[in-house]
Amino acid sequence: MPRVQPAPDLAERLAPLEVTALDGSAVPLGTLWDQRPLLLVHLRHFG
Amino acid sequence: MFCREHVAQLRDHKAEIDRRDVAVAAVGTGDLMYARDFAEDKRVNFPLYVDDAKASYKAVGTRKGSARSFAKPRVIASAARVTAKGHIQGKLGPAHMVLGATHVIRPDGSVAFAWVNGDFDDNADFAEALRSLD
Repeated sequence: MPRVQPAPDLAERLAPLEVTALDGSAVPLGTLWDQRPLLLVHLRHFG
Repeated sequence: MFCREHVAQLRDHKAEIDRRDVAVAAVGTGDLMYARDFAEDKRVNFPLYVDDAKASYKAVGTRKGSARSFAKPRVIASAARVTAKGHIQGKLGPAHMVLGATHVIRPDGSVAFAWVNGDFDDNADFAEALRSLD
């Protein structure tokens, strides 16, 4: 089953990682869920 | 093509996601131009980000697909279903064998939903993901 038990520290490990917005700015992932829950989708590719 | 269907589903769920006061973000690999073209082509109505170093993919534990998966009857049937809905395979990205994942993360850092794709056609159901917050 692809539904998995996440590591207890998953959010802590993801939070400082930076992704790049389409305008080129760097965004720490943790800022995306600091106000409200986040549905975070990792895509296989943009194809 | 599975990514295209998945993004279209996410786009179509956007109103429900907003109603629940949930933020949404999708992350992909490749360069910015590739991502911008994809966002425009798929009329993406939510924030899209690039993680070309794949650090966040590693953190969530995404898996790698196998070329042999394309010969699996289930994957072939899924590809036919998705293609019939108009989601034609686009340009392959540089990391197209890296599979996806879906998570719901609360502001306190707890993870309400975690899904790591097991194969190319194995995307999470967004309605199920959102129900994890009920």
